[in-house]
Amino acid sequence: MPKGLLRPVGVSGTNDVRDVRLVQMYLNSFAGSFAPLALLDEDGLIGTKTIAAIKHFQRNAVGMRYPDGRVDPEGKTFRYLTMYFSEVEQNAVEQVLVGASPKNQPEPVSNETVNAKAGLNNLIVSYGDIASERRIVDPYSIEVIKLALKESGMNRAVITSTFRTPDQQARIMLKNGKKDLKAQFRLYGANGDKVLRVYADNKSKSDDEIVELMKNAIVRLGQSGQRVSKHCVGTEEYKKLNIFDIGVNSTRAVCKGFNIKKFTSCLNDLVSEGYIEKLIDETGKSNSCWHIEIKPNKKPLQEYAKGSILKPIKYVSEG
Amino acid sequence: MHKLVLAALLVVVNSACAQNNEALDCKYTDRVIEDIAIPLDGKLVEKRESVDPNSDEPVYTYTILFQNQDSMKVEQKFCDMYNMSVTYRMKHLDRKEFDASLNRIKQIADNAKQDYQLKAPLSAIVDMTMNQRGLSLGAAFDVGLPSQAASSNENVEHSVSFKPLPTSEAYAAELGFYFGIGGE
Repeated sequence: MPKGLLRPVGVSGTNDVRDVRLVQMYLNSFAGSFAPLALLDEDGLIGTKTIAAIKHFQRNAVGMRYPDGRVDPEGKTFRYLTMYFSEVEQNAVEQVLVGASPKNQPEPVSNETVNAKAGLNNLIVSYGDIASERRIVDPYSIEVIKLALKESGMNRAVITSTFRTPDQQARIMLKNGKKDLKAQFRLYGANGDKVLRVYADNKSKSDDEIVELMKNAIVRLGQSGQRVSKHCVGTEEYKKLNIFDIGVNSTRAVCKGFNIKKFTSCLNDLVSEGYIEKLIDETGKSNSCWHIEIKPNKKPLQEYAKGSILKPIKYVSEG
Repeated sequence: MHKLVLAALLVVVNSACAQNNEALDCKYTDRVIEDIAIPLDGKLVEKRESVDPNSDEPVYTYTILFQNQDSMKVEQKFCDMYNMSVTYRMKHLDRKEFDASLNRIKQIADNAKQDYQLKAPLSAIVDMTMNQRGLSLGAAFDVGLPSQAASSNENVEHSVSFKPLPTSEAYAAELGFYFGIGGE
């Protein structure tokens, strides 16, 4: 059970360091989801920036016409700040607070140190058939995947998909729609169906015209927060949340010690540890991949040391 | 909540649906609850089974009437994905009725027992989304809900729509909710 906010934060609040830091962390979790809310230093110190961010949140998310700049433990502002966090996720946030007190905080470790100490240097995460401009998975995310490789006793992973622009998404949907439109209607949700209907209604037009119409439909949907595919995001959004697939067959073809179950189990452990935001195990589906979403630099990589960030390899379960 | 289980009443299985499930090798077939539980103040007035002409997916459609004369149409469509669409027609429109309608919709979504759990009341999630996008009940909208608003081990797509019905004599407004899991 999360403890939540213990005392008021903001204008005329008690502003205990722990509580201010908690509010700063929750405010930062909304950064980028509605502009312009800049990232705050999570230092536990109340100041004009934090109060301005509270007011911004109250005005634009809570819907307060006259924001008071104060977050109360049982108030609507705190309820809305934590709305997208399950109890487990709130506990995880509060654990970070405990771990981050000066006496408990570990020294930051560079990627180079993590690599050297853990022997990650010999592990390779490469791209499959992906255009160079779409090879933008953050080095942090690559390190996280290397941890899963290390833990599962594998040496290589191949990224087979990153993000798609609306134009690329439209071309893929047109190409596949021409092969089997009904299968595409089954594969996509309501948003994808709207785009497929554009194709269905305009079959007499040229491919370029259809792609343009489908692309426009994808862009319009995106403007109202409706995503056609989990891979169809803008580059700026992508930098905040890396979304990519690791292909089973591409990885199997180049990897020593390939083991689907162990690798899946290690990825799941990295989800539990908070390094991976979302893992969708699609190894049993036709696209045969691990769909992974990672927020770059969300949680510092700790020194791998003698044992393991997760578990010693011999104890890695095969699920 | 009182659950009205309709299994005894609705034993007629549409053979076309069953055949389609087999022909398409639909992975969601065994995971769909055919007879969803109806909220206490609602009454099921119709259930239909059909096939989506665009995709050949089986579709279960339920029409529910509420004591306050609101009506709800729930559609479960499934094969490679599970899709639930709800169309809720409100007799009277004000903020309280709007929130109550969203709560009824959430009950239906919860009763579907899929790998999809909203982390907060739907009315609160919709309220925050409306605030962030500057929307009001004065005009129609159709917007995606944030992916982080739901827990699931699968790919999730969800959205809410609203439109006033000024020319309708029966209803003041229509509210739509959709969630889909799996798929692309």
